[in-house]
Amino acid sequence: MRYRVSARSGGATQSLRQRREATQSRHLAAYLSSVGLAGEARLAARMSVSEHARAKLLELVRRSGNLPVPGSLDQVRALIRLYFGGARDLIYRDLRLGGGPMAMAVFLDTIVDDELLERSLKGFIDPSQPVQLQEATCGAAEYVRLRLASSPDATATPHIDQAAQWIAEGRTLLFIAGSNQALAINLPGGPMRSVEESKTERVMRGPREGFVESIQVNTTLVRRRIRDPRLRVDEVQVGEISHTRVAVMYIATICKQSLVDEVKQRIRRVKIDGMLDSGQLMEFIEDTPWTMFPLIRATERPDVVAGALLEGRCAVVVEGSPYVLVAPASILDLIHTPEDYYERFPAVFLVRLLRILFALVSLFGPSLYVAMTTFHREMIPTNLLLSIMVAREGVPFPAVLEALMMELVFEIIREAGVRMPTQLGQSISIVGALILGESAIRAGIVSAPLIITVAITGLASLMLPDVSTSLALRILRFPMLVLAGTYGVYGLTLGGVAILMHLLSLRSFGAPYMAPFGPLLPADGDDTVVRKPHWAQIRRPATIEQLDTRRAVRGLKPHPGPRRDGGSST
Amino acid sequence: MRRVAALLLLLPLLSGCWSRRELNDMALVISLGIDVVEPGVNEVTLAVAGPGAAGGASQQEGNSSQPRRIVVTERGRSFAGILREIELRLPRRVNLTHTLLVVVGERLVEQGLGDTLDFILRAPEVRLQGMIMMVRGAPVRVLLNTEPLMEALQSKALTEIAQARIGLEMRLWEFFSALATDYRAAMLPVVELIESPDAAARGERYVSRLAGVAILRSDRVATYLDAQEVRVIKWLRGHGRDGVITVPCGEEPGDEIISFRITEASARTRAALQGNQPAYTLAFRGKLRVSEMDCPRSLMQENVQAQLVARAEAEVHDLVTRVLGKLQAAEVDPLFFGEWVRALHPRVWRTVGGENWGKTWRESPVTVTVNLELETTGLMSDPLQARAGPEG
Repeated sequence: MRYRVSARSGGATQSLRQRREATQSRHLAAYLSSVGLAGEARLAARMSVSEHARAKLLELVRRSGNLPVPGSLDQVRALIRLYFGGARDLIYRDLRLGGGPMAMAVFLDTIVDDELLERSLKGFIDPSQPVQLQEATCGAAEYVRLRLASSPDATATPHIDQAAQWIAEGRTLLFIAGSNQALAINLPGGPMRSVEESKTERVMRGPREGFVESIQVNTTLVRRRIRDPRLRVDEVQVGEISHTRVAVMYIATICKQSLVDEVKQRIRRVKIDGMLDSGQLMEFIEDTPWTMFPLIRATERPDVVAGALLEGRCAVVVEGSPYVLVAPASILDLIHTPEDYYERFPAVFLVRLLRILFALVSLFGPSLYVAMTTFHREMIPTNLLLSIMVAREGVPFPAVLEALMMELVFEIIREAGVRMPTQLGQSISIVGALILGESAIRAGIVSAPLIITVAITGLASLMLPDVSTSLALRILRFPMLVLAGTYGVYGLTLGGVAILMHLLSLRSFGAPYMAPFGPLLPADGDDTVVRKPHWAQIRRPATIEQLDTRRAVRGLKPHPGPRRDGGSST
Repeated sequence: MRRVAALLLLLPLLSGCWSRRELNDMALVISLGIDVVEPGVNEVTLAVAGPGAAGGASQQEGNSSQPRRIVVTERGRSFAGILREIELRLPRRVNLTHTLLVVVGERLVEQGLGDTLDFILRAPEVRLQGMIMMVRGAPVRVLLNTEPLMEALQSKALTEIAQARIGLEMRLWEFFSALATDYRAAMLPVVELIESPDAAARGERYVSRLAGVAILRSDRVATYLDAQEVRVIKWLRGHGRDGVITVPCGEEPGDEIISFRITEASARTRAALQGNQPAYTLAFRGKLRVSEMDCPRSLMQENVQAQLVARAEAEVHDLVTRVLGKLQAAEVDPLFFGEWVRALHPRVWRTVGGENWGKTWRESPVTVTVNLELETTGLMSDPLQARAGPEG
């Protein structure tokens, strides 16, 4: 109790506060009875004495929806105060519109750009021409919006609820005495991370920009790459309290409207208090919730999003998340990197083959080792088997247990490495890799061939470009290991078939996850394991249906032009 | 998803972890020796890979104190019984999946193999890609106890030698398939153990070397061919390359020699039937390279070349005739000459083939032609010696 008392006496003195609350209560009561809400007006009268009444009144006012903006600035102040309480960062700024009527700007100074606001307010206080509101035929707010507001985004609203919401979203609301409209000018500010290189999807060659937390910036980055009116950015709000902006991006003449509608409908279905990251949204809008594999691709790179949009996919940008969702996704995301499209195509083929090979290694590596050494020794060449036997001499654990242990240790080292402050990262790798591995072998607890297997597997899973997909493989490795330890390659086959069946059953926004391999779409071979040179990729991938499937014209292959005679010919 | 889960749950019913065996619970048999001590009593020797078997780097780390191989010998009547006896002594389970080499004792082959090797053919874990050899000069157990040169394991050393240029490679499957017919003779590469001072220096009594091949009639030795004669067998089997022919090179045959190396070799067998008697023509073709030459003669001169190549052809011709004579005298046909009659003239085969094939083969006329060609002298011009004249 003492704590609350002291908290109350934080800003103004007790008596001042009481007086302020009494005024607020009086103005509110007057406003509510003027709009014909007698019950609420009575509640407002009791507000200054009862905390409970205040909370209840706020709820009622919010629910009654479209209450008009009062003409009296005092009533506005009382209403805003009801919405925001005594928020410290809420500023009420009284001003006179160019010598004309009184007005009040209300904003949260934490998320408004001060300098821009100052310039904007200057336009109101000191306009280039005298204010003659009497001339205004369309209301004072509209007059101010058209004649005085210099900020690019200025909207008027007649509803106080909308006004309060806009204040919370970072707009500055201008209430004009005697006007039943409030003018909102959008001058977003506050701290923001600048555009940096993506940390998780690095490339040697290709654009370096990565998305940031601001939806504004993120859409800008995509817009800059696709400069066409057909690029649509449709906005949806998600989160009952967080009011998170979610933008659905697509290209109108390529992306099928059914896909866009499906995406929007799935997003609108989400009723939740807050949406903090696109990863959270992803779980709500996936096709199959029970799967290890990401059915929607998340990327930090605007060029990836632009490329996907051009293929007829849909992108979902979520305010506050540097990861933009791209749907539909497919298993090919596991082996495709943005760099593949900027590098020479023969090299890309080779690297993609490597990725496929090592995706398999990261899934089956240690289990194959265990299965072969404990069940199918005849599969190993004699000399290799002898070396493994010598290394395993004196190891106290069965091979499965040994492999499980080392895999766990590896996961620990990796997890620790991710969470560690970067300054300590080095020591983690030294402790983990060198000391642990080396001394485990010296102590004879694990065998060297196993360490090699685990290390290769670990490297393999780090090599895969898509973090979420490689995470799925990384976790599936453990059941595989148990299967290999109990049933050998027979178990591995069954496990592999089970995974394959599961993968084949998955769909991402209606597109088969394993396409173009299952179902086999031979026409889609432009960009699978082999990336054909760009001049040979005529059509967009058939896995995703598009309105317009043609991406380039035929005959773009460079060739020597018509022979030019002249010059010093002999 | 539910179906997958059901599948996984059903899995344990389908199989079990019966064959699960950790590597350090296994005695990996690298070579297997079979000998006979007295009629009906066999002696089986197993060379098991020891902890030092991997050789190489581990030796440098001080592992050389660990034995590379452990040799166990046991006598008994049945093979399976002997294996069980051995398991009583070995702390680990005998594993035959990596048996690289099966060695048969001289006495056993001389007396007749009978069904001694039956076990190897029947055991599922023995892989028939393994090699088979016979040992001459000492019991099998002595061979498996001999320290090989360079390799860590005797079996490894012997198989490597057999696969090299001059050895004859005989896999178990080929041996058994030859043994299963009554008209095709099986061959057994022979390993000879000879006492040598070199071996004594290393604390051993014997040194082993590959010495020709034994040709079996049904299940016992009919004749031996030496290492030189094995070349003919190899040539007829399509591995004539890399052989060396050495002939005198002087204008009159003398001490000076020229050696040719065979760079390309092929052999073609043609057969014709004269009544019920098949007659064979063997055409040997090859290309030669001079590998060394003692005498100062110019190979640029065609007549010199022709003379020397003709000598080489004669040499090969003599060797082939000798070998074929030996095979015919022993009534053995390891090279499948009878197959032509059996496949194309089954009616004739019914009268002269089958068990009678040995006799028929003995009577069959064989014509040998040798056609060699000098491909290169190995030098751009005549050797210095030849240019300077005999005085050098």
